[in-house]
Amino acid sequence: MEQRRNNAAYIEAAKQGDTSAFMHLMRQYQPMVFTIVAKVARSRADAEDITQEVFIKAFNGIGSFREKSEFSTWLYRIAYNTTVSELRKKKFTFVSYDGSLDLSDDDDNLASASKEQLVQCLEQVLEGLPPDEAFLIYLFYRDEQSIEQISHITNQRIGNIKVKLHRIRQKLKVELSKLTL
Amino acid sequence: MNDEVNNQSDTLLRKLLSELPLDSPSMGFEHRLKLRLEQEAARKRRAKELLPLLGLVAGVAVLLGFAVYLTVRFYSAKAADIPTLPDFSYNISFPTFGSQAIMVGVAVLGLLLANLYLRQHLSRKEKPPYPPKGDIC
Repeated sequence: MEQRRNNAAYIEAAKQGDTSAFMHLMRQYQPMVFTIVAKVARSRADAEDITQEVFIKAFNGIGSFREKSEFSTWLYRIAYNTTVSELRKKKFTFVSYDGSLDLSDDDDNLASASKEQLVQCLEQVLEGLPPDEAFLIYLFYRDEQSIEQISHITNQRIGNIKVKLHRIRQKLKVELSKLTL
Repeated sequence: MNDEVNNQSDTLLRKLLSELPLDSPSMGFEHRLKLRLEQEAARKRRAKELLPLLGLVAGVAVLLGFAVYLTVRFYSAKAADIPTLPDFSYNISFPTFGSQAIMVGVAVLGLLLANLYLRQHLSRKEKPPYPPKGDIC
């Protein structure tokens, strides 16, 4: 609550063109934004370019932020749109994962693999997804955004998000089950 | 049954993805971003300062244009366009403006510009106080 009140003051100052106030907000949200963009973009240089673009767009558009939603949700919306459109411009290609990996949703198999291995495997599988789908997964599972928030971020209907998440989950299951064969 | 499986996969994915460490960009990233933000802020300031001036110039241009339009239209009106008036002795002429009237007009315009300048100067000085009193984060 206190943080939200403080943020409101920084947001108000940033709306007046105060770069230091905006930098304060940027430092607060940059790790979240950069992590998700880096995972989706896969290239560090691209991720830095996209993250910079996200914050420049946020600074230029902060006047239109009406505080009806959380600042983070508004920022994620910019991050999602920028990442997806930048990667499309770069003709981002995604390759389905075909490595060998000992992972399934079977508890015995899970127990036999180390956490690091599992995380690494999952990352590899997620790299095979298109940017918008990977973004959805990270928003839902990593940042624990609700379906409603994701719907606002991606400007898609709640039903669409549910269907997409289900489809991606199925896709992940297929990919992961291939690895256990 | 399906829900249970979905819940299991949800829990598994959430557990695995929460293990991912937060990434951070290279050292120079923040400096580069700050430079670009300052450029953008300067551009926005220039546009903000220019906008009222452009508005004033456009307003004056519209007024002048309207005056020119009326004058041209009045002088180019054909005799046939002018409605027939009863046979009286009319004396229609443009009002004449003395030098004093022009001086008053110029003075009003000058005062308006001075007012605009002072308002801009004051708005630059009056910035909202931040950070607010109390803890920061």
